[in-house]
Formats: sequence, structure tokens, C-alpha cells
Amino acid sequence: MENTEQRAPQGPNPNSQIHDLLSTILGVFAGMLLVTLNLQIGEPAANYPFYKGPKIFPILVLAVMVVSSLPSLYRLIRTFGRSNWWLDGYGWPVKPAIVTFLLVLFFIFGISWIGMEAAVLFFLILSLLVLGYRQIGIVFIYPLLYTIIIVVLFKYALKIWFPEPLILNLFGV
Amino acid sequence: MWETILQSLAATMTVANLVALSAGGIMGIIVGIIPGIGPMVGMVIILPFTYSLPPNIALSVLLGIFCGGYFGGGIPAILLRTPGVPSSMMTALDGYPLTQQGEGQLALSAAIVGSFAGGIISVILLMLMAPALSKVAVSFSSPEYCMIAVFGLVVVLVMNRKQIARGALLTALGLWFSTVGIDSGTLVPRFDFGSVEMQNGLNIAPMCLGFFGIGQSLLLLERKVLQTETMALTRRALDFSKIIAVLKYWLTLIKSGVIGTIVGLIPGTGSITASFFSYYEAKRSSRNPESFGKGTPEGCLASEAGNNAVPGGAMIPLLTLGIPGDPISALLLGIFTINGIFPGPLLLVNEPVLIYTIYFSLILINIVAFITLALFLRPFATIVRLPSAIIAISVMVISLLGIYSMNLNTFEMAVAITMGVVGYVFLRLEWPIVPWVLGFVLGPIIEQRLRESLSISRGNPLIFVTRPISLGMVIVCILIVIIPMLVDWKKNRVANG
Repeated sequence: MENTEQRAPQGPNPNSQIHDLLSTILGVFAGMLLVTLNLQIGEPAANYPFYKGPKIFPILVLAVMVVSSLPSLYRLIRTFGRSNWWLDGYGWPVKPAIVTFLLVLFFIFGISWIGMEAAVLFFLILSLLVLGYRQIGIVFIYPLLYTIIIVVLFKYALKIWFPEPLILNLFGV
Repeated sequence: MWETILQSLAATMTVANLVALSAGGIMGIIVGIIPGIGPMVGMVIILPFTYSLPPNIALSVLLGIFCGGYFGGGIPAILLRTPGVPSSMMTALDGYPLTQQGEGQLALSAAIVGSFAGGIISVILLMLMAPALSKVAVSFSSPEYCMIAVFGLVVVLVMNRKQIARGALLTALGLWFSTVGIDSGTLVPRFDFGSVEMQNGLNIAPMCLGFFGIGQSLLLLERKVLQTETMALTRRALDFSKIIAVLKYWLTLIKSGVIGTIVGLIPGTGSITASFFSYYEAKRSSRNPESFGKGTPEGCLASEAGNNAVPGGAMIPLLTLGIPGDPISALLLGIFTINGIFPGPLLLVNEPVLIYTIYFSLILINIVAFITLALFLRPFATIVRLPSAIIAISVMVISLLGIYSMNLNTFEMAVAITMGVVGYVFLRLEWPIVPWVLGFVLGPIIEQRLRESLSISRGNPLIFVTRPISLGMVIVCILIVIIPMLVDWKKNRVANG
């Protein structure tokens, strides 16, 4: 795949089975939800007729998902064994994947452990390093200034409460 | 009537509202100038901060970003051949050749005058059309509302008919997302997968912020959006003699503004269609059609007037029917409902001061954006040179903290990051994302109206074809699906001999 991508021009390829694969996955997901609908949606306390109940709309919507994924499933089966998995010529999304990991690390877990200020600062510094910046002004001074602006905006101007860093408890502070 | 207008003028001219609309307009220009960001991302970043504001102030900020974004989008299109917003790509067709000929000032004057005129024309049409449509809409009941919302989804699907199965899949996915959480009618939890947080449902702010803000930012990390590094702009401000010069195309201005407004009020069509139609109508009716594409200010003017008329047009179905025609209007609907105001035919009767305040604010936003760009053109234009990767990670940080500040929980940040990854995948695969958003926004409206309609008819689905307006909508839905398909089929037959 890597070699194919390097040779091919950049841009989407409507004949690539990547699109059909993703559509089929979404269709299968919808089908599984349909099959397990009684587990996903409980019975209401009152005895509603079906057309007033909580299931009619999800059934319609999931059925549309299943039906609209069928052409993709058909194409996927028809071309089985000689599929073209070419994406778009832009290569693997390494930088977005690392930045997403950093987002999860610093914002979902980091905010409660090290506090908002440190989470923002470390996220910006590490992201800029991952993105290839090496100048001190960009890698250190910009994150510092941006963090100060963020702290002033959220903590002092908007008075948003952020949790005390748990790491301080470990040191008994 | 006059009392209402005076009260609205007073509400519009308060310091808080003037600051809000000016700040919104300037922020809109900035996000419009930065290629790959645009007014949608700007609005979703600001959205969490507007929840605590009074509705007229919140709407002024968001409408400022909405309109300002289209003002700003034309600048990089003219100077760098890189549209700040997708709808400005038509502006680049004539704007960039004019810049190469040393007439960048003329092109920018045409674009900014076009944006201003388009915005003002659309507000005038909004003021004229909204009361008329409201009077018609008073007779609507649940089946009609249900069919209008379905009509919106069908139009979006037809606009993406080259990927119609994919569009239908994404629309249904958006509709399914809207069903997650406790069902308001029966209080039964749906698709919560055992999570207490999921029982509250998925909030529009983290969903849209993740999808557009984080998804678009992840894409910006790996794409170099600028096509050229040279930017020819010698003057700090606009040359007013050029502004006078482009006013000779006044008829094109009016026509493009009307086209943009009409396109804006049709759900799902959007600003790209508006600028496309305005541009080609200007070319068709021009005395010098051969100059289009080679560098004529008339082309820049038509395209920008068309796309900046869209916000006013999009407000018409939102205010009168309560049905958002595009993702940006959906965010505005969120502001209304959070403040206990429900757009619909009675809104003009129940909240006349708010409605007139919106009208006057829209006019002021256009004036502020025009003056700001006319006086400080070069400082704003240099924004385009900021490295896109740095902008992208800064947008992510402020987006996530904005989401956190809404409910002070990390679950919604996790939702935003997840939707950011989904949005990135869809954007990278060039899947149509508007159907997903409209599905998510229109889902609760369609479900509620569907269940109400079936309750009226005791479960008989024929209610949708036994009421004249509803039947009319069904027929229109069928026609707008069939006619483009027939046209495409005929074109293919001719092309294949």
C-alpha cells in the first residue's frame, strides 16, 4: 500500500475499496444494533402502542443504514481477492494519530492528574515537537504565552473551575 | 409595531450587543481568512462560551462569526488563490488573475463591496419573507413539519447524489446518534451501552466541535493549504476610488444577493452553491462574458455577494419553521432552545423584539465587517501567513477547554475527541459530512413529529399523503430525487452517443 500511494497522484480514488469497507462496517454495526434492539432499548413502564414507543424511529433509521450499505457490501464481495485499497496518496496519518494520543493523554487523563495549566503547556510543547518545529520561540515561548492566555481567559475571566491536580495529593501538598 | 422596532433598536445599540457583534464580526474575518478554518469552526469554538449569555448577545456573536467568515474568505482567494472558505473558490477565478495584473485592490474592493451588499440584501429579504412564511406556517401541523424536515434531508442527499448511498448512510448515522440517551417521550434509555453519561444523550456542542473543530484541525496538521507564498498588497487600507469603480455593477450585486438568499433558504444547499449560481448568472448576463475567468471585478463581486447572502437566507426557515437548513443554522437553533425560545411560526408573534434585534444586528455586523476590512485590510491579510499546524493545535486546545467549561466533565471532551477522529476520517475520505450533521440536528424534530403524526392518525402512515401540504411536500421530495437522476441519465446517454 505504501508503494502504491507513493506512485499514485494525490486525491481520492472512488474505485478504492476502503470506502466500501467503511460503509460495510457501518452497515454491519447498524445490523447488529437492529438484531439486539431489545437489549439496547428497554421496555417503557406504560404500555405504549408501537407507533408512540421508543423503538419505531431507531428501527427506521437503522434499517436505512443497513439498506444504504448494501451496495458497498455487494461491491466488496464482487471484487473479493482483487481489491484496491489505495487511500488518497497522503500516506499514513502518523502526525494526526500522535496528536490525538496526546489530546487523550493530556486532556482526558492529564487535566485531573497534573492540572489544566501543565496539561495545556505539555500538550502544546510535545505536539509542536512532533510536528517538526525546533525553534525555541515556537516550541517553548509560544506554548508558554498561549497557556498564560488560556489560564487568564478560563480561570480568571470566565471563572471556570478546574480540578486540583491529583499529583499534589501524592506529595501531600 | 413602531414600539417593537424602537425597543429592538435600543436592544441592538446596547454596549454589550455592539461589542458582541463587533467581536464576532472581527473573529469571523480572522477565521475566514485562515484557509481550512472557516466560520463553522469559529462558531463551534465560541459556542460553549455563549451558553451563559442572553440570547440576543449570543446570537450577535455567532452571527458575527457567520457573516464575518464569508467577508474574510475572499481575501486569501484573491491574494493567494487559496479560498479561506470553500465558497470563495469562485472569487479566486477572477480575483487571483486581477492580483497578477496588479489590480488586487480592485478585486478586493469588488469582493468586499459584494459581501456587504449581499449581506444587506439578504437581511432586507429576510425581513420581507419571514412574516409571510410565518403566516403560511401557522396552519402547519406535525405531519407538515415532519415532511419539511425530511425535505431538508432529501435536498442534502440530492446535492450529494454522486455519493447518494454514502450520503444516505451518513444521514441515517446522524439520525441514529440523535436517538442516543433517554427518550423524552417514554423515559426509556436508548443505546447507552451501560454508560450513565450516555443516558444524557449526545450534546450538539461536543459533537459538532469534535467533528468540525478537531477533525478539521487534524487534517490541517498534514496538509499544506497555501498554494503560494507571495502576497501582493501594497496599501494598508482599501482604495476608495476602486470601491466607487465597482459600484457600476449594481445590477449584478442585487441579482447575486437575491440568488444567494434564495439558495440560503433551501435546506442543505449552502454557500458554495450560492456563489456558483451567482457567478454563472453574472457571467451569462454580462456584457463581457469572455472576461470571466481572466480577471473581472464583476466575477469577484457576484461570487461574494452570493455567498454572503446565505446567512440571511438560512435564517428564514430557521426563524419561521424552526428547521435549520445547514449545520451553522443548527448551532443557532441550539442557542434559541437553550434559552427556552422555540423558533417556529409563532416566534415572530411571541418574540418580536428579539427577531427585530437579530435583523438590526445582522445589518450592523455587515457594516462593521465592511469598515473593519476597508480600514485594516493588510493587517488582516497577513494572518493567512500563520503556520497552519500551530493554528490547528491551538484550535484543539481552546475547543476542548470550551467543551469542558460547559459541564465540567471529561466525558464530553472524550466525545469531542472521538468525533474529531470520525470527522478526520470522513474529511480525509472526502465523504459528504453535511448529511451527517443535518441528520443529527433534524433527528429529534423528525422523530417527535413522526410520533405525533402517527398518534393523530392512530398509527396510520397514510396521514402524510392525505393532508394537502404534506402531500405536496411528499411529491416535491419525490420529484427532486427523480428529476436530477433523469437529467444525469440523459447526459450520460448523450455523452455515450
